[in-house]
Amino acid sequence: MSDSLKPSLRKKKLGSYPYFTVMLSITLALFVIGLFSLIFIHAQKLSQIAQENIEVNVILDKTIQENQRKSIEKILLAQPYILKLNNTPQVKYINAEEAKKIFIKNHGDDFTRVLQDNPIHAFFILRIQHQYSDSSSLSNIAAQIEKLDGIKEVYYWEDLITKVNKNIKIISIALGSFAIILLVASVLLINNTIKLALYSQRFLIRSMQLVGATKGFIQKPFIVRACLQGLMSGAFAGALLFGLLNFAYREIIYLADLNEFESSIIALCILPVAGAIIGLLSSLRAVTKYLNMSLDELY
Amino acid sequence: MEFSSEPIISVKDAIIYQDEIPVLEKLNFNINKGEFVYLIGKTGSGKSSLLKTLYADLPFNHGEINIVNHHLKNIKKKDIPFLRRKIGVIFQDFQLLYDRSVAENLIFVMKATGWKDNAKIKSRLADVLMRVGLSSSGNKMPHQLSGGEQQRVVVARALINEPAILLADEPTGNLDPEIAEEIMNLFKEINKSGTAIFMATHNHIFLNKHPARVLKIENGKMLDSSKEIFSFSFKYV
Repeated sequence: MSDSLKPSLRKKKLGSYPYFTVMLSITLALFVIGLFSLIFIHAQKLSQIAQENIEVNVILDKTIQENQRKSIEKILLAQPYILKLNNTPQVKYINAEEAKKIFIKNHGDDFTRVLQDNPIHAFFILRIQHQYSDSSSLSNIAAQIEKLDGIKEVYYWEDLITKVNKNIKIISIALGSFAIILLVASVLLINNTIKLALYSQRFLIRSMQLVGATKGFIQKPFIVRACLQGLMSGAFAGALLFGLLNFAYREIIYLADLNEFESSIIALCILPVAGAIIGLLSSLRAVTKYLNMSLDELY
Repeated sequence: MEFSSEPIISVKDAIIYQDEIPVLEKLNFNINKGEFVYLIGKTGSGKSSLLKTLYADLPFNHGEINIVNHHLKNIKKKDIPFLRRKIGVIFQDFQLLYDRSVAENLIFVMKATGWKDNAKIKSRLADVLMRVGLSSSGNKMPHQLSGGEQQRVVVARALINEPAILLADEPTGNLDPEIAEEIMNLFKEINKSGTAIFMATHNHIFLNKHPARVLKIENGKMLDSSKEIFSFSFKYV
């Protein structure tokens, strides 16, 4: 490049709109929002799986008849709180013989050498949907099942459930608080980026006013540009996150078990919309501010 | 030249403020259609404040000013663009849109002031560029033009909507004498076609070479050469 060209190029760049910086900043801010949304979605799924792994044991009377057992099983299968995996209700029947084997396996003592009869009762193992995994719902479910004829008792590890639910609640509050802070920080970052970018255009805005352009006419191109930048940045951030997510599913064992495809796609699709809305509001605010400033205030 | 009875600018008992401080008081003057009027005064005397008030860049609350049928007293913000469309304003610092070409600068004004028909826009663009002698500069960026050419673009921009009056705030202040004379001749041509010109200037050569009515600001008051005789020079104390 000849030296004579350099000053004119430098002059051309003065006061020009920093497209690349704005796009990069918005993309990074939306990437962080999207990344945290995905972490939140996967953490929710992990909590759900933890809650759905809680088992409720329904102990049957020793004297129960087969038809009565089947009738209880039928009732249990029809309950709305029973977890269904691949459309299969998670109700498992363990007969007394199997129960004995499990007991011996777990405790190591073979009581059959001392006792002639098997004292272990047959039972059902129920897995409960995560919406019903709080202590109060489980207590109601247990009370409801215990009313059935042929049931000796219903038990579950109440302490464990209380601890699991308490920990999930703490983690949810922490994640939620962090998400709000992050969201506010990202929105402020985008807002400030657009505001600073438009700061370089404040005299241009004034010149437009001086030649008789109305407020709306001046605002429109700035708002459209900021919206499009937000939209494109959001799409770019979404595409990056989608690639990152698929890479993580491939590389991190068991992460794919937490795959919430629909929620993840919705979260990623929201990014361009959020980018456009934040761009719109930020540019509207900034341009309106410069439109209402006097020349002295602009300097 | 025959003037209609109704002035383009009518100022009665006006007080002009700059930063809430009155810089001109009890102003009374009219400018008629097709008139050429100089506005002179020392630096800081209030010339720019008066012009800024006329194109509603400074608020006006005391007295009466009527310009191109707009009353400036407590004018609503939403009405200001429509006032500015009826007057052409020439700035010393040009106020061009430096991020777009000469043609785009002019097209912006046309679109901003309601021009829709592309054929008419093109035709008017060619007209005004030819009128200021810049027919071949439409695609140039403002920074590629000399100061005189940039001022010609500003004049072209001001002429787009065929205003009844041009307000020029030291339009030759940043230009060398030769280019300043070219701009002055351009103003005279525009004035001959019926557009009134109200021009603030420090260039006393113009006053002698192109004599016209002079309004002089002195000690916060205005003297009018159409009513009294006074010296165009200033005493700096």
